[in-house]
Amino acid sequence: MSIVLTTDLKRVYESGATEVKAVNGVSLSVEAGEFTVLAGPSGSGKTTLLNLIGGLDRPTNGSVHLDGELLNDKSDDELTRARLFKIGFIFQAYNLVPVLSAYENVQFILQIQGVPDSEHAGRIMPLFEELGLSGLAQRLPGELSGGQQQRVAVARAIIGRPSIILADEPTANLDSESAVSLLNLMHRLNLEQKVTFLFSSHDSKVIDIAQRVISMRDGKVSDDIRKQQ
Amino acid sequence: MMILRIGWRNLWRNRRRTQLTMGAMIFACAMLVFSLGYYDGFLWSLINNATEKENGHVFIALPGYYANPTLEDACPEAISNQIPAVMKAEIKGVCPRLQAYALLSCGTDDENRTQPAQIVAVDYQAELANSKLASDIVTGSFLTGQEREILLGKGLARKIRADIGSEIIFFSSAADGSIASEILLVKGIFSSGENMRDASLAIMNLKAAQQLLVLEDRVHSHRLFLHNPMQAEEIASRLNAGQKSLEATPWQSIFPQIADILKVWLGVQLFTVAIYYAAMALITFNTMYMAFLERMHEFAVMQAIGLTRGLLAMLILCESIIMATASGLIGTAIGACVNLVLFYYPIDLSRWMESITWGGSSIQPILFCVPSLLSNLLPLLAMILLGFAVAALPTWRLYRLKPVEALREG
Ligand SMILES: Nc1ncnc2c1ncn2[C@@H]1O[C@H](COP(=O)(O)OP(=O)(O)O)[C@@H](O)[C@H]1O
Ligand SMILES: [Mg+2]
Repeated sequence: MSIVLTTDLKRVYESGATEVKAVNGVSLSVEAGEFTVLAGPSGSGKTTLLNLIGGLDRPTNGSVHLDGELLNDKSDDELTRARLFKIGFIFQAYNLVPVLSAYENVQFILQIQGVPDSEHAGRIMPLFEELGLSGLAQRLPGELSGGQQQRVAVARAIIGRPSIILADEPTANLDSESAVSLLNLMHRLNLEQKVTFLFSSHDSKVIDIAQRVISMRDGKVSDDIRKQQ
Repeated sequence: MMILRIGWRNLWRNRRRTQLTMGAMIFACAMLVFSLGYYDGFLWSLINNATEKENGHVFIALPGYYANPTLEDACPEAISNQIPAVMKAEIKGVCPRLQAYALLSCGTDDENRTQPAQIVAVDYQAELANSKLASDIVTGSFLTGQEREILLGKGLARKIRADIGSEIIFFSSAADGSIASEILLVKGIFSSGENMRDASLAIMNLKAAQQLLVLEDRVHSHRLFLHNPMQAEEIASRLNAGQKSLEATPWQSIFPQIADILKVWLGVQLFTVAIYYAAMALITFNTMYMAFLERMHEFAVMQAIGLTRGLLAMLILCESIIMATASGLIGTAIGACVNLVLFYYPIDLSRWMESITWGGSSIQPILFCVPSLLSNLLPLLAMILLGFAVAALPTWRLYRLKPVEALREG
């Protein structure tokens, strides 16, 4: 079963008299365990598509299924709960809660998911180890570099064991070295822990690491290539 | 809970803004507690000056005497037996009084030195124990129970040109119709601040007056002094319900203007709370709302990662309530301390202001506060309530927040 399935997805923005068809008829599916990049120039509709899949935005037309459930029918609060349990978000601007330490930012998700406090450390510390964050757990986001903050954001996204991680240009704010290292890290999580990733990028170095490349142009999928492993 | 932790730390994030906002809230709260304490002090003085000085809290006499006092309508002095034992706890003491009119003359050389005067005869020990009559003495001393003592009001003493030790000829008619006359010695001169009263009142010993006026073992009224003046009406009605031979009148009926103030007192206090906090809200609300708007992006992120709007609303409420409660507690503590100090050490303003006579009492030029539970709790509770109110608008905005839009802006 597909984790994500979209059918003829459309999102039209109306600004005054003009209509912008940001996503214009996208039908695609993402399977469990895939490591997929949405590639395409700025303005091609990547962010809009990820927002629709993540239930942050509602389509003008078409449908989104997540884990077999139709998102279109859900109320705002139901969508929020779906995001909490099924989706991990990674943002371009990291977007950690500034007043919480690295550890607390990750723990926050477990708390709102209702995971008993006694299990938190046992789940967070090995992940921090894996992501090279062990010594940074007590630091506030402001005391971390961009690459470190984004790794905390990765930890926050996967700690709740979601079905898929959606990442909108996760490396756009990083220098190319940090960008590639972050991508390799994500790829390792994908291979070792079977975490499904769908992220967007227009950076060819990043795109090269992906196993599947969906190219977008003017709100449409122009190409969809699965590389041989 | 993480929500509480986030709320708490957010307050320290923009330390200066939090300090300014909380400073304004603390100031308003402290000023409010002080103002309410001052109001209570004002009311307290008003009631005490009306009652404790002389009148007492409950006036007990033969039925009809209060409305139409006559020399003959006297009741037995041994009234205290008639006060039910259950009330003993609420009653501080009883002062028996005789009241009469007399002509007082000082010297014999000049007829201008004769004045009509109102005579109040008292049991000096009961007065010392219960009323503040003795505190008005400005020259000489209060009654000591010796025969032939008399105290004169300041104005009266001036009119008949009497001084301490002067001989005063007392001339009146007794209850049996005979002539009552006696020579008395001025023991002290009092000034109550009420000029009318001081120009016409003389005070003497009860025993002497009873003999002079042929009213042995009889008095005109008994004045009950209570621990809590607010119980006067209830005690008077209990006394009236128990028997018909005597009539009890609470001070509220004797000083209706003061009693009227009491009826609207809670309203006055609530109005004051509203004024103070409205002013404070005008100053602080804008800052708090701006602080909220600045974090719209953060709220959108939290919503994106799975925090429901209900939890976000709790976060905002949390911050607002922490701030309001902390400010309320600190402000109340400061205000309560000021009230306590001014309760024990009132500041005398008589150098700059005159006392005012109003409603049968006098308003003293004094900065005096009474700390009460209500004047402390009202500002604190209202502040916490305001915390909820302040959180309401951001919460409402939050419910209409579209996370995508806020995320894009950030
Ligand atoms: N809120 C909006 N209102 C109007 N137009 C928008 C809005 N968001 C995005 N667009 C337009 O939709 C198109 C796709 O944008 P976006 O999804 O952000 O592309 P990408 O992420 O690939 O750069 C762009 O032309 C953009 O200007
Ligand atoms: Mg984009």
